[in-house]
Amino acid sequence: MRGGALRPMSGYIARRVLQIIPVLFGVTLIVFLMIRLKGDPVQQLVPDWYSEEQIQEVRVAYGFDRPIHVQYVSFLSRAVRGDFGRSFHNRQPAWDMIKKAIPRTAQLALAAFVLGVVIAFPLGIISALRRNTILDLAVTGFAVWGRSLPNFWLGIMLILVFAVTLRWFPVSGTGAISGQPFLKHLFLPAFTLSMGLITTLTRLIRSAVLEVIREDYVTTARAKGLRERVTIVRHVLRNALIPVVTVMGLQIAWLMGGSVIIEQVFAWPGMGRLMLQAIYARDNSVVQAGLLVTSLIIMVSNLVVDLLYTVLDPRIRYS
Amino acid sequence: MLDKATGSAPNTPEFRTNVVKLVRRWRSSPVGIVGSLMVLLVVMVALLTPLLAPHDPAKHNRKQRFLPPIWMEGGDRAHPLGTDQLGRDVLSRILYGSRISVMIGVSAAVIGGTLGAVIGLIAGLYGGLVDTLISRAVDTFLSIPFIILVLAVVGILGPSLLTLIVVLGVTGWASYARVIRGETLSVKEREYVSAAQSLGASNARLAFRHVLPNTFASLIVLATLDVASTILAETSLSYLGLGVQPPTVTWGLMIADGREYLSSSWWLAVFPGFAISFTVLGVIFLGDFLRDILDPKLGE
Repeated sequence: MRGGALRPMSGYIARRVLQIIPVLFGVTLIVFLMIRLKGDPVQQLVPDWYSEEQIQEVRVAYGFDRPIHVQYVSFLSRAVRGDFGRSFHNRQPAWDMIKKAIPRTAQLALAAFVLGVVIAFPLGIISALRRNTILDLAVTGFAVWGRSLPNFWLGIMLILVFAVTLRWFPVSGTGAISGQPFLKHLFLPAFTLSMGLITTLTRLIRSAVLEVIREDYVTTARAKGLRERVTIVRHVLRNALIPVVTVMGLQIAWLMGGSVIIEQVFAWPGMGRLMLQAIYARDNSVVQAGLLVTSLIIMVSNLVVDLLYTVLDPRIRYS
Repeated sequence: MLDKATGSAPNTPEFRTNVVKLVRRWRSSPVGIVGSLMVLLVVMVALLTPLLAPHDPAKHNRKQRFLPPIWMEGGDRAHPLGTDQLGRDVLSRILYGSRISVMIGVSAAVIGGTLGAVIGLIAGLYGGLVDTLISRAVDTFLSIPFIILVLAVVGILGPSLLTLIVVLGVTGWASYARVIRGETLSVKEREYVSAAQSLGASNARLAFRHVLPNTFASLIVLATLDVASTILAETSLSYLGLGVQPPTVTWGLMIADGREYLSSSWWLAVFPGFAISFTVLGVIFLGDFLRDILDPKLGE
């Protein structure tokens, strides 16, 4: 707790935004060095039959012949302008490819987020209110088991049951080819992606509700004859929301990471799949652009969550 | 402090009573018992695979391709969980698959834990610029999605057992460093430590004599839970073809193969997943139990 209790909010926001800069800097450094882990990145890109002169030509063309710090500064100054170089394969600017794929990943992540919240809140609340019943045990058991499931396998199991056997949903894709409604295509991958969120949130909401329910103001609310539902919505939920919001921030990173695998399982043409294809093809510009953009998204959403946090809980506003 | 059971130095009476307490707590905790038995089972299977597996996991058998599990029509008693597209025994392959997951999970957690603990200790002990630099590096690593970074690095270096262990281990250091740094700072505040410091104890002595033993409990808990997430990451990498390469058997690769035959031979993709889930669940139970008794404040 530095400074007085009345440090203005704008100061906190400014400091929090400034904190992003060194981290962003660090991420660019990692992303820059990463493709040089195995020595000369050019050597790995060109076909085997290239002569030394041809390799040198490529090296000069991409600027890999310059001293490494010069390369980094040029990488950085181009990255700031959204220029990550071109894909080695289709010669398109890497950023354009990423930009085109972002909406698909956003759809998936958003749907997963909504599903996670919609499923986890009732589960967590019911489980807390009916503590130590069979229902509670089932919900808690489900939440624990869910943590142990590899998400690609869960996806495949859902495909097996709901797409292959029951035929309720399409196996993969977005609907451009199958002609089935988009939402039907979205459901299985979104649900798979939301599993981590559901299990974490359910456990968290359950314990948050259990904690809040013992507080004096809840007893008071009950004592003054407030109906159970009103008590829960007005008092319990509002206060249980704080730890939940924190975890949601952390979960954004999870959703981004998970989307790489799940987009591959469901052939969903988003950023994750694009990055994975680029990794397979050693298309470094696209990998670098994707990693930077993903990290930036995570940092910004963490920032938003932190600010949201201060709105929800005024006590921590200036710390 | 009771909750710091393993925090005391070994071979002291205090340590021994703490171990007794630990065992007593274990015996009264269903999660602890179930978790450790599950982990024990998987480790035993991994160690004794050649004795347990009914068949050679790599042996092709053209005549016995796609045999269903024993309880289905056409099942064969010799292959309880059926056979795959090359006629290889699914049960034997699952048993062999445990070796890679256990080996990578444990070694990566040890590497990440050691590295993170050392870096966290340095940050906490020296403070100042060193601490600032390390803390920013931790922030940096934690804002890159772990799995994407691992995928990218393995893609560049080329997948092999050693690469996977090193990459999964080294990229996992940040969360350890963050916790151990915090623990170091709080231990440093304690009177006897600041007393030792003012008596001229070196940083190295402080680290090994006072700080490290006190952070040991958190380290163990973190590492256990880290084994679970590393195994999940390893299976994902294998599934995507960026894990340990065939002919070595991995659960992830079995699922990737099985996906091709999902509509006709579901058992190929289903059973390895249960093996992963069982292993990870055991480790999570064990980790949760350890956290509850050793370090409740670590929380989620």
